[in-house]
Amino acid sequence: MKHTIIKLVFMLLLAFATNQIKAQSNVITDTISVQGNCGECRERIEDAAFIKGVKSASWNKEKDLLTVIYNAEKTSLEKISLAVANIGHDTRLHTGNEKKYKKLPSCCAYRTNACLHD
Amino acid sequence: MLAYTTKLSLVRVCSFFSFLLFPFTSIFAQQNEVHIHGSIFEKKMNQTEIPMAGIKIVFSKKVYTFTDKEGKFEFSIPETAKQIVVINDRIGNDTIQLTDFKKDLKIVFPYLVKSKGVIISKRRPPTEITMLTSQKMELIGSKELLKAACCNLSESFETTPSVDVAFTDAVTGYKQIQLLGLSGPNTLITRENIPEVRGLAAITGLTFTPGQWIEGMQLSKGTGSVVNGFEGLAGQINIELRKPMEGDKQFYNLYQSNQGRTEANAYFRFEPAEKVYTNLFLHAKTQWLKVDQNHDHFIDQPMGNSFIGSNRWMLFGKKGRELQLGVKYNYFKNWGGSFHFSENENPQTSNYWGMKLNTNRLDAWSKIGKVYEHKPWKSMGLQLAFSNHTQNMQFGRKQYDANENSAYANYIFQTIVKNTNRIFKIGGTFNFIDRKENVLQTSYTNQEMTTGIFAEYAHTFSKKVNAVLGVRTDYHNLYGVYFTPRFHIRYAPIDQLSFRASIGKAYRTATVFSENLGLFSTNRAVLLMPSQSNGVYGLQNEKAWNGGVNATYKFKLNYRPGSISTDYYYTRFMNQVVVDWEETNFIKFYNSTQKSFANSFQIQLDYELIRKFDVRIAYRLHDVQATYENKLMQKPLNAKHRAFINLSYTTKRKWSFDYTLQYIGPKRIPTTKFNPANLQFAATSPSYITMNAHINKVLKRGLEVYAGGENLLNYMQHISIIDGSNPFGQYFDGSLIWGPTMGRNFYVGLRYKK
Repeated sequence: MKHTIIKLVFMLLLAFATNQIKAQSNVITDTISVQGNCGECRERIEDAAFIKGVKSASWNKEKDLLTVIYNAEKTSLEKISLAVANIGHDTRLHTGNEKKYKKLPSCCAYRTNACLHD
Repeated sequence: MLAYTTKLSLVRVCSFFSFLLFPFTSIFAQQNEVHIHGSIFEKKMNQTEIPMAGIKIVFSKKVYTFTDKEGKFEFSIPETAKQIVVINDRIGNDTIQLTDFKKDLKIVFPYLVKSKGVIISKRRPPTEITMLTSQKMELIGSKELLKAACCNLSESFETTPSVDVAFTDAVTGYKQIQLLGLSGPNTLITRENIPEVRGLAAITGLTFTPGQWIEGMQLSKGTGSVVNGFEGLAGQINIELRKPMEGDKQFYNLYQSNQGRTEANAYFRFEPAEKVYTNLFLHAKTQWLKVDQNHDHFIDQPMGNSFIGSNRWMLFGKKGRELQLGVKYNYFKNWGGSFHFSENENPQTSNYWGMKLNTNRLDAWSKIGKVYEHKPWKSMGLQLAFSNHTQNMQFGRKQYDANENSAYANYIFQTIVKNTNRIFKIGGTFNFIDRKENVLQTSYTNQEMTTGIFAEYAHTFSKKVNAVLGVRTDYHNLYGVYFTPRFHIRYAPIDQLSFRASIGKAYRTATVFSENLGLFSTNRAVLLMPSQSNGVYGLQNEKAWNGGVNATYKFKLNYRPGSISTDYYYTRFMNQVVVDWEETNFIKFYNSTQKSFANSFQIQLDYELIRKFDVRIAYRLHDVQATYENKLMQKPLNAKHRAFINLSYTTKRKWSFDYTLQYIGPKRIPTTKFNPANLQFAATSPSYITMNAHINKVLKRGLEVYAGGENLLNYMQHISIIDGSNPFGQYFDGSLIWGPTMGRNFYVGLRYKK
């Protein structure tokens, strides 16, 4: 049992290492302002931004700022922004999909800024 | 970074630069300006809007203004302006989109209960290890608690490698926890820093807090702060209940298992008046199906009902004063034992071994606090708690009736010396316990009164080093003076890595019967070997030292966070109340100053392997030895090795999957070799593996359903009771439990919050 665990740990570490090597080229960090209100918005925005080629997406509620780390060969900020706008959130580059915006929970209606919770 | 920018598409680059240059081009090229005006407010807790004065509103580096006393502002900005930024130190910067220049802008900041740092916007792992406090603390959030159905406190540690959970015996269904390999009562379990699970409730108290009520927990190993008393040798687990001024307004939960257990929870939160908050907790549980999965002819989980209700109030006054009041009532009526025993029989006269457990407990507490105006670093608080605990328990022909009243008061004054790098706490504690027990035809009356003072000084030397030194002196009416020094230090050479060390002394009075409920489901004779005639049960108090070191390293690998954490603790008893099961047919309690120690080592790796897929691997080693009548031996029924894997994955469609695998190593079983050959247990138990799985799906806003399975491999200790067919004979013993006595369990449940 102990051996299996040690093996597993090594396999995991190996997986990290190989990932690291692959991830060397063309990976950039960029930010884009995305409008939103709350923690629920954050989850929605981050999920939407996590398209193919994106390594990490984190949205800051206070700054209305999405920080993305992505592989520029596979995707672009334009594409990420579009993906976010498609689920109803305004970004610096695109206006959020109107239909999707109307379907957001009332607290996420960032255009009226009516959120009172996390 | 810049090198990569050149590879970007032209459009991207253009938009990037136009954005950067936009303010300048507009100022210098077109001088047409518009005058805008507006006001800034902050919503307070009671929903009133208060003007925010002195807030900076920025259009560009050179064009900015401040709000006046009434929160109003006005200034001229270029016609082409699209947005302004409101600089708010507490909340953060807020970008305001400008739509209509003529309109009076009204900006209202929402009320924020917590001060918002950058941390909040990160994806918070369900369990987190603190990096800045001088004591290592595992923060177990509500997310972690949602990884299992966790019906009460003892079951909510299933996904926490630091805590071991095991059944106390084959019939009562009670579970006890272990930290650092030391039995549960060595851990100080507090409800919002007021000691709760102790005395008569030392074991049973873990069932008094339903998991759904808990907002979060803080777990720390080793001796903790002197502010909370001289106990807590192995560590402290502090439970935070849902707060009346934040979180869900209503919460409902239903749970049903295929083992015949039904649970319901309801929670409400109100704000009846300005700055007055209250919440109400309700819990009901019933076990309505007789289950005997390990075929020992004894019911695995006692039948019956339990109800728990709690109500608390928080009032915020002027000048930083606050008041908290709370009450909690527990009602437990359970019965069990032999499969053929029925509820209306009297265990004293029945031919079958029957068990009846009735417990009523009332807790009332209050916290009075004050934070000095304009001096947020200066505060004082008084905690008051009262409890009344009554139990009538019958285990076969054995009776355990008891009543306990306790009163607790703790006063803390906190201030700084010159600056906030030097924090000073002083205060005093008073504790009174009056316990009457009627156990196995013998009456015990114990009154314990301790009065003490403490001082704690925390010094931050630099960002890298901080330390806390605490001392307290208490006077115990039976055992005299307790002197408790404790010291914690943290050193962080880099932000991601911190080393910590702690050392401290702890005292404790052993309540031998309530801490060893397992003895009642045996026919072992109880031998109390007195060592101090006026002591509790004629015994001396426990005294021990604990020291430990730990290291936590947080890393980012492939853009995802992870951490490696390891710790080592050593406990040495100076005087211990030994619980000796080593002689068949007896259980002995005696004081021992002979060698007794515990070595505890743990290593844990946490990593987000792919997005939203968290992996936790942990291994822990416990080497716990004590001298049992001049023979140094491993503590019985304690697994030396335990390994742990937890995988959890959340999909974009809000499904979450959680899987836990545990390996529990062999345990030493107290000898049974003097029993007849067919009534013996092996000297050590086999190692085994348990698996739990849990699936959760958010159906729509606020509504989620879950299903799961515990002990999926259906591994059981089939022979859990020695001579169960002859429960009134001398060999009967249901206390030697090393494995699960309950088999596979499936459950479904739902949660609804508003």
